[in-house]
Amino acid sequence: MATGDGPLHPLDATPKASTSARLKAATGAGAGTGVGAAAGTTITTRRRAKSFLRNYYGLQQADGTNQDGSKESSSAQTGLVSKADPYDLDSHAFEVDKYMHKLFVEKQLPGLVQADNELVADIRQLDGDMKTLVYENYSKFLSATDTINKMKSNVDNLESEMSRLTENISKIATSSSAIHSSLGGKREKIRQLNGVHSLLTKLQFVFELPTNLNQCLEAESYTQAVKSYCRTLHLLQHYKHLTVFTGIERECKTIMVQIAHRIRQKMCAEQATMTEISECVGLLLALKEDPVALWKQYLDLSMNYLQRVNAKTLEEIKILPLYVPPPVVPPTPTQPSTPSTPRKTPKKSSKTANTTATTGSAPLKEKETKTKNALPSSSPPADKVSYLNTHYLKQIEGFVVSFRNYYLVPAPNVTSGTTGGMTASTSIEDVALVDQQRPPAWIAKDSRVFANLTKEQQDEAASAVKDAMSKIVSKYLDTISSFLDYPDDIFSVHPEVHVHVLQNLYLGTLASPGLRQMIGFDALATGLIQNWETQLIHRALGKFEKGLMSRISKQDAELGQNGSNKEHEDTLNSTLGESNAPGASSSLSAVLKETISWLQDVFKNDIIPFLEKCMSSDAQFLETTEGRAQFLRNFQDSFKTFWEDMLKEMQRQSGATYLSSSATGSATATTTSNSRTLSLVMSQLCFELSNSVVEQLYRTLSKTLFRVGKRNRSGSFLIESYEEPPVIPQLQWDCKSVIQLCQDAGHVLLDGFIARTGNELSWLVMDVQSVIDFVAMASPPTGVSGTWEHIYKQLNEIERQVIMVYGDEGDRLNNHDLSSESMRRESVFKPSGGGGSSNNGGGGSRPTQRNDSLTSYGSNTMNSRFENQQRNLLLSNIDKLFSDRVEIFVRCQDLNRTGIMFGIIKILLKAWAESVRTKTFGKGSFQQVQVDAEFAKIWLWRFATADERLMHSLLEETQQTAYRRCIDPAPLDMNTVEAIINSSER
Amino acid sequence: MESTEHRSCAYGLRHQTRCLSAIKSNDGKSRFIIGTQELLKPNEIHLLTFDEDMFEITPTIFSHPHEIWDISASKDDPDLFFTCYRQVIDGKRTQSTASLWRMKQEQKDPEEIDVERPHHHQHRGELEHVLSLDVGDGSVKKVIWQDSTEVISVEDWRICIWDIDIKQGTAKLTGSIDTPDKNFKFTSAVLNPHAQEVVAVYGRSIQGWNLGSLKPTFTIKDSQPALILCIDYNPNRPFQIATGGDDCKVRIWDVRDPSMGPIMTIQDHTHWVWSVAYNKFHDQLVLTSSSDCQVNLQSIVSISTGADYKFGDASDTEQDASEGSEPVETMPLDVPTDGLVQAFDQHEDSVYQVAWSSVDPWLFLSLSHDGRAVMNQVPSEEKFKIIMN
Repeated sequence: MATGDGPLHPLDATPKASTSARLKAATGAGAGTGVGAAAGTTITTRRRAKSFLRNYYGLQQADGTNQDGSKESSSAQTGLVSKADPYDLDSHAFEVDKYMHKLFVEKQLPGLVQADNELVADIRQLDGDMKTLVYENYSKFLSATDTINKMKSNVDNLESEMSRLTENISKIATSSSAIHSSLGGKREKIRQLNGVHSLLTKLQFVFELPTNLNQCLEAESYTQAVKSYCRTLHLLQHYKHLTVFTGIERECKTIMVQIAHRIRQKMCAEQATMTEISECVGLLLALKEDPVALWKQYLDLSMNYLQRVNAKTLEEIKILPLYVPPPVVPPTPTQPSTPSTPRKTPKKSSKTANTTATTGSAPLKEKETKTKNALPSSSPPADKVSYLNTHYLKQIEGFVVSFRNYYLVPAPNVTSGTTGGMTASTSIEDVALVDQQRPPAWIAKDSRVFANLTKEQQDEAASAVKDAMSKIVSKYLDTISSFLDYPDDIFSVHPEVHVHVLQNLYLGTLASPGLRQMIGFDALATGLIQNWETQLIHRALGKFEKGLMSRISKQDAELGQNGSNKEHEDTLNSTLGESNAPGASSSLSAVLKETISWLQDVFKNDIIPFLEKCMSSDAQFLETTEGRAQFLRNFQDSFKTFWEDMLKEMQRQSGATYLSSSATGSATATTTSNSRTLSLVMSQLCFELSNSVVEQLYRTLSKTLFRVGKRNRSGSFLIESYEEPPVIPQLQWDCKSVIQLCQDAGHVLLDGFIARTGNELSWLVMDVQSVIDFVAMASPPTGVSGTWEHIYKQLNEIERQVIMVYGDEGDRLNNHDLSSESMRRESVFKPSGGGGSSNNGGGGSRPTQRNDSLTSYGSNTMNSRFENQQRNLLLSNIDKLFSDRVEIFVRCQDLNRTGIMFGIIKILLKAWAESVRTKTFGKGSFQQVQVDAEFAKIWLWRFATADERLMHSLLEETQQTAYRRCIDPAPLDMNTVEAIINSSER
Repeated sequence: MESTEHRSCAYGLRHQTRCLSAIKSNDGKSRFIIGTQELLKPNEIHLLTFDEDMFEITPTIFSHPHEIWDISASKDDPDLFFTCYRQVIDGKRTQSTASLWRMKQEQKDPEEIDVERPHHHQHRGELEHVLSLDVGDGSVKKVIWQDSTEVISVEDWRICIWDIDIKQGTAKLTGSIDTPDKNFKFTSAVLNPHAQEVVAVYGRSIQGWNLGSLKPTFTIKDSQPALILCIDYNPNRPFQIATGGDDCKVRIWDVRDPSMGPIMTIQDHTHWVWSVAYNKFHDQLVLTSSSDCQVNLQSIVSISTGADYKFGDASDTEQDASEGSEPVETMPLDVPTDGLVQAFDQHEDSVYQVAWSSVDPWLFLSLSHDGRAVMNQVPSEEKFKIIMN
């Protein structure tokens, strides 16, 4: 049968597929051999179920259906033609008949046999496979059955186990509760016993305390002793009523008294260091010594100690240099300390080491180690200030901090109950402050100790310690400032030295927060620094000023020298008039220029570089913007005051010489001219300053010191002086006001010069007239009065000086002056038909224009001129009414020869007019006035070019007044006057 | 009359004049006397009576022999006054004399004067010579009344103290002070109204003498560069004097401590200061006159008696008064301040003397050399400021 309906193709199809196919085929074959229809219906139902499953599992239905359908049709409806190969054994469309037919057609017998064999072998294999399959599944089923059976029996077991467990647990519960109840009573006992044990330990400590304390006493570890004692103190106090404790307490107390005594001794010992003292004080405080007395003692001791240290340190730093230039210092060998080398100050260094070990501030530590290293080797030791800072200032600071911690500010880590009587009230601020301060470790160690002072006591302590500290610190600052010397020659100062000193001071300030807080140490130090700056600036500028003034006076002396020589020559040559030699004037103006350039040079080359050097050194206190701004502001103010002072000084000098010269009354010409010219020169200098120099200097300043961009171009300012930058706004106001000041001062000086000169001449006029008895003077006068000749000489001299200082309007004008002067002389005398003009060559032509006042009188004879007095008076009054008010002492507006000389002439003539009014004249003296006035008309004209008319009217008025004041007026006619003048001119 | 606000009243004498003096008034009218200075012409004394209601001046003219260099009215008797006059003796030398005169006015009915009042009608009167001081060298330049029986005369080289008996017409020399510096004459002097002291100026120096002991009380010597021309003593405040000199400056001194220099320096003139006068009622007002033809009214309130209770601590009033800016409009409050109150420029010639009225605290007369006398008043703003404070 297998051969008949088991045409299987074993070659293709995967094992699984083939297996299933074979199985199907086998079943199909097995089931559907006889009953094809019945088998067909079961197959369809099964197929439907399969398709359901397939649907469920999402397999390809179409293919499946197709396959199944084709298979079905191939098996059930043989007539159906499918595309599948009907000769394939494994195909669904396999048709036995066709296959057989084909075999029969195609193969010979041996082939058929072979095919048969093959088929049989296949069938057998399939059979075996199927059997294996069945067995396998069966064994699984069997084992499952076994498992189920086992489970069944196990569950039965479990139930019994569970019940047993429950039973056991209930048993345990009962027994545990039994144990619990039975042990309850004993636990309390154990606890009590524990308490007793600890109490006993404590008691033992207490009982052993005296011994311990004694041991500590012997071992001198007072700190330990005090700690132990403090710990037990409350205990002892608590059990005071028990005799045992009382005994112990008494014993302890005696020991503690001893200890306190020892501590005190230690504290008061000569060689006690600051650290020890502070420690001792802390201990004593903890021992509840009287805090008030204690702080006083503490303060005293510390003061003593600090003084000692101060003296010692000062002694020690004497040999130290003030400043060690950095490149000179070789890197010190870094071994911490060489015991072999003898220490110069053993105690000091050990202490230093001590503080170094405990201190918390890093930069100081560094420096200290450096100091320490440097000291023993003593090759390049540290400079004075840093040594002082390390050895003295730090001690002060330590004292201040510990004092604060003990008495003034409760330390932050105080907790209530650690030691009896300690306050726990610590405000947040204080905590912050103390934290920020970072007190040295040895203080922090004791910081729990804080004296419970009342507010008043605290205040008292604070003020006392503040006083003491202020004293000490001011001493310290004095020491520091004593390092800063200001020699006369300020530029010889090495700014780096000063800066270094101050730098150290600044660092010291930074490292002393306690002092800063206590007495505003930083403010004091800043004050010192500012004082230094001010001193520096002031000295520099003061030197500048002194130099300038000495230059001026030297110059003035030269001028006076020149003047007297010149005058000498004049008298020798007996030539009136003629301006001075051009050489002299040019030399003077050159000198003036030189002074100004000297001024600028000194400023540029000395002062600014000097101050820049001071500023630019790497000083931290200047590094901050405020520091720098402060310095600049300081300088700016000082610079302004410098100008003010200088101008004031000039005015003072001018006034002083004025007074001294006026005190001597009619002094000799040389001395008066000498002092006179000083103000003249200074006034010109002031004008020069206000015109350009001040602005230039301020520009230089803006370019250098006040440069905005820090110092990126330092030192280059001298080179690029071509393009002048404008004055920076910060300085503009100053610049303007200084210019104004200079201008004003120049005017004051010049006006002073004019007024003085005018007054001196006026006095000459008045003095001479007062000594002569005018009533009884001889007539006619023999010549121009000596006074007027003298005045004329003086005027020439003054003019020369003025030209020397202020310059002339030019030679051309000067020549013109001369020629027109000669014209003038002619014009005066021409109307009276007078003879030829005197000397001076230049036969002048007729004057083109003449003065009004001259015309009114010129053609008249002298007599008629004066006799018409009433009319003239009226005329002159009307004249006055319409002319401007004449101001005599006024600010000179024309800063040149003309303006200045006219100012002098005005004063002189007005004074003459006034003085004539107070006299009574005789015939001769009136004629003298007449002659003098005419003389003045001729010779003073040159000086009065500014307002000739005014001069004439003043002179005319003088003559009129003299006429009116004359008891016997007999005016000379013009010829006589001219003759007299000519004769006196020689 | 310049304006209605600052009314002034001018009077012309047609003579050259140098001196004036305020006369004590019994009827409330301000009176001044002026002496003329004419060498060759007859001289006159003009008594000016100012009628405030009519705002006009009524003159009475007296003849006076010789030119008058100084005039000084009695403090007690309105009719008495001294003149210092100079005469030429034999055409050779001059001689100064000081004489006391009594004015004899022609008595008229008061109503006649009031009703008629012809414009610039000149009353005439006569002078009665009472006595002359027997001065030695004839250089007397000033007479100062101490009281009705004692006067002080200032000469070039000495100061004399006289006891005078007006009824008897006699004068007796009781003491004299010689100039301490032979180089400088006395130029002026003033009596200390608070003590028996005369303060004189010579050259550049100021010196005081006790009238009883004739010993110097203080000296300010050469502490200023100017020749001093005039002096006045603060009538209300002891130890304060004002001087003017040939440097155009007015200086106020405290004679107790002159070493520090003047306590105030005022420069508003442009020529010599010939006269300085404190207001008797309000010593913060100082008049100065100068040969620059100006009369200046200065306020020195910060150092006046007014300052004692008003400016005790105010430091801002210590501003420099010599700047001379008009402070009137700069001050928002009506507080008197230092400085020039007003400059009066009605004169055309040197103003040699100025004097406050003896009755009206706000009235003063200034006199220029050309014979023009101008009556002025303190500006009303300043007046109100002073009154209100």
